[in-house]
Amino acid sequence: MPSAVTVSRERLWLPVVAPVVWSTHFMLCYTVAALACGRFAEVLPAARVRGLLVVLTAAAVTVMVWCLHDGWNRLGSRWPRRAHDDDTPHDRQHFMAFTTVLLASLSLLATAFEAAALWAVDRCT
Amino acid sequence: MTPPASEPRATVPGEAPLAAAPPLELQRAQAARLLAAWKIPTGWRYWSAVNNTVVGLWYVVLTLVFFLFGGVLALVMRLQLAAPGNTVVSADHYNQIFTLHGSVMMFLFAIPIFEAVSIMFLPQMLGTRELPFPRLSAFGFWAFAIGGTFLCGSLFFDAAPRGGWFMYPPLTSRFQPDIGADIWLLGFSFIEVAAIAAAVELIVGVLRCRPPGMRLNLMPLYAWYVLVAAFMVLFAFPPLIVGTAMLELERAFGWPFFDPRGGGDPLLWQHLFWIFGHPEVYIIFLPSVALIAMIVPTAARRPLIGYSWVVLAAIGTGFLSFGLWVHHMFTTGLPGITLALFSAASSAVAIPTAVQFVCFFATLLAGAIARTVPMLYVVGGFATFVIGGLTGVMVAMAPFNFQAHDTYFVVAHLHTVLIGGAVFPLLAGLYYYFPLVNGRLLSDRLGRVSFWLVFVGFNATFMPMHVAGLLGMPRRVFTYPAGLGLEWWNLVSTVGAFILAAGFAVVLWDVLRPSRSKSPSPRNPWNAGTLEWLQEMPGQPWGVRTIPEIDARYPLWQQPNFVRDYDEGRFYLPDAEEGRREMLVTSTLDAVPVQCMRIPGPSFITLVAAVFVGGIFIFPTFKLYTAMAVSAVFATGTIVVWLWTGTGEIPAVPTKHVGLGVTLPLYVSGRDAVGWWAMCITMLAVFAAFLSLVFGYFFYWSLRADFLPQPSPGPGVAWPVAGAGLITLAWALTALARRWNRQNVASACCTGLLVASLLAGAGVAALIEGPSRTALDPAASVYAATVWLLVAWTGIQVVLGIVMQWYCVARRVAGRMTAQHDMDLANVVLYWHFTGVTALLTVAVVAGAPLVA
Repeated sequence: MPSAVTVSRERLWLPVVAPVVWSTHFMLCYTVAALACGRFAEVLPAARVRGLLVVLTAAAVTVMVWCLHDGWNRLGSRWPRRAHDDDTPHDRQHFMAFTTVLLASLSLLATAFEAAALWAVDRCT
Repeated sequence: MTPPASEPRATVPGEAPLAAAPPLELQRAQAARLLAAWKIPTGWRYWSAVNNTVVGLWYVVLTLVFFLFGGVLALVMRLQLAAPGNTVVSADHYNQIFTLHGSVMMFLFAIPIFEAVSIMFLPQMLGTRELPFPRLSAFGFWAFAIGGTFLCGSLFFDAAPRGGWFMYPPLTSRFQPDIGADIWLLGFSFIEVAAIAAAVELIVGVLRCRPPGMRLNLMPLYAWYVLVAAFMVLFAFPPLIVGTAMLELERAFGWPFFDPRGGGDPLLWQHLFWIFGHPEVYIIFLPSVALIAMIVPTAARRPLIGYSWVVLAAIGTGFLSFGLWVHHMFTTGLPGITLALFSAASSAVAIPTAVQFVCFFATLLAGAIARTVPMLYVVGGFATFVIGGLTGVMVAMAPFNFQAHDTYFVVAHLHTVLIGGAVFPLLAGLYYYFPLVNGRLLSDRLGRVSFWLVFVGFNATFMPMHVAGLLGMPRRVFTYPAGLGLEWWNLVSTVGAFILAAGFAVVLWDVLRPSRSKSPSPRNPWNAGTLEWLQEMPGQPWGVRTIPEIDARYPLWQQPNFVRDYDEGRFYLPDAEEGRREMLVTSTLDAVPVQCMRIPGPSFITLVAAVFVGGIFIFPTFKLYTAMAVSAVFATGTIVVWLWTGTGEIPAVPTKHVGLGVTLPLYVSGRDAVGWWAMCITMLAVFAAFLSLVFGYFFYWSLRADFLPQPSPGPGVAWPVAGAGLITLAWALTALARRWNRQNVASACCTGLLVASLLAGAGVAALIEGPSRTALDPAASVYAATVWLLVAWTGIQVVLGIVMQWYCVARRVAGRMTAQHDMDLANVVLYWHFTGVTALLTVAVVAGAPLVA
């Protein structure tokens, strides 16, 4: 039989999936920009960079939307009518689901914000 | 998800009714036994104490001493700048003073105060007895004390660093050959190691030492903030440690990491520094907001509105703050795309920051505000921080940033953010939590006087700096000519600085005046709802009389008869029958008890270890490399003795009844053990440092077509691959040894570990042979230097792994490790997982990258 710790560890990381995707997207955008404006300017002209960034952003947004959807499903119909401040496993799960939804939303917002800035400024100079 | 599986024990915790209160004599006997077990040593042995309340107090006092030192330096600077052409200090002294002021305030006050306050109060807030590794806290404190004194002392020998608190090369490499920069680089590396140790302790404390029933959704917000900030320390400090190591190697041995003459690039330092430096602002800010999150519900006399939203804000800020570092580098000529990306992220971080403030305001508006001194400081901090946040959005805009960069506008902005976001909340926390320290209240009247002095003084100091900056006054100048319109603004700033200092003097007097003249505090003087206010006045060394069962976020408000039941010792572990220090270890999500853990008591070994580890960092400052090596050997020996005598003790009986019908194991190994968690978290930080090195390699590669020399005189392929193969074999054999030990085949286990250590040693030799054969000279090119640094990093990590393998063999032979009691080996195997991956990555980079290119 798995121990109590092992069982309850299984989803500790779920709320932070979306922010981790945000970080990955952010670092990839930074890397693409650094390469396109550095050694690989010839391989990566502005049009191609823009396409690459669109693909990266679409991929990140897909995962974040999945997190949002997953959290929303686990939330059920209870939000936003009550706070999850009871000492029950159910309330704790509810809290984790709600945190997943909030963090996924924030990550989406930040990604959209950054993508908009990249769309507007796609020059190296 | 299923509810946590119940262990094969009599009852599910929390569902057993509380037993009747024990008879009064028994209660007294229990309390006496607890006191004896948790007794704080007296006389000169007081300094061997490891109780979190004692170590936390030393830590807080020392950080405040450094804060005062940094403040005095600021006053000297303000005196010098009061009038144009002043000669209070020379230009060179001014450089030392502003460098030390920034460094001391950041590294010796702002970050350590968070860890100090948390070590002092976190266990009480969680209703537990201690942090999981009390000796580690003490070690961290001693390391901090030694390193901090070394750094500050340099000023009195005219040897302090002069490169500004962010130490940009080439100023600090080629143009300042004196000892100052070495003191900075090595001294702060030492302190950062201590900071990471404290972060590990706090993370494991929050995740695994909560009282039964305190599920994640019931955790005090302070614990959430500390968790986030500690994780940030874990990922933000390693890049700086790697950067300082590189800069020190350049200064001491000419490895040209940041020197363009050898192919290096000073911009890499800026990247590594600010990947640390920007999250650091939030590492300072979040734990201070955490204090606000504890004070506001008490003042509003109601639970905080939007608990989950505040948790979101803490975690969200923690993540986003890692995407801001380039906004410190907007004027370095980075591509427009990069500026846009970081400018957007810098603005986005305002969202979670604003969310938590909305929650605080909502709580205050919905409640009946108590007009206490802590609240005065909280509101003052709100106002100041919001102004700093708004100028922050201004400097996040690249075009404005180009204008304001390196002017007093930035100085004004950063002080507004840090003083509003950290110093005001800390002063609020000081007035709020002081009764927990010695059972006395600080003066309400002096508190109000100090607040107004601090608030007015602060604004008079820093508001004019915005204008001076916009008028073009550059930061870090030791003087300025008359006639530029800067005179009045600077004079007002100087007057303001002294009013601010007067405010701090009042606080200091209030704290230091004799206890007799302070009014005694009743228990829970603010009528708060959180666990730390269970404390008796004055507090006892046991942390908590009994570890409570938690059903609510504000147990003192929401759990009926809670304080009575607590005082009568009706919860867990109300006694110390065996005279040992004991605490509960619980599961991460739902806080189901899994272990009754015995923790070690007072010891001087932490101080001895800190002295020898300090030698590793302090001797190379003076180029005493032999002394450094000797110190390293002694440090290793001391730590081995510490571990041998203080950890992994096999209990005489396997289980213990901890109360409320729950019986728990005394020894837990592997994934359920706190030691395993600490190893895992520490290795995450080590791995983050290693990845920073790899980042450096590819940074150079992306920048220069000639980074990889053609035709390649790199380390070749054969030797590195052989090294990786041998180390992988050692790794596999270490894992197998654990299996053999579990099967109780001691000879196979020990032989396996010894063979593994031989293979590992051969692997390191092979790794070194690669670049040696091709005579790669690390002083000749940045490529060679980077390859050597990667190899050396892996080598040191493997050699430490060999020491651990020998340690496990010795434990097994001495009977201190058995087939069931194998936590040492479980942790070593985990270490080897990280080490194996590190070795494979190193070889993939040094041997693979030239092939691909």
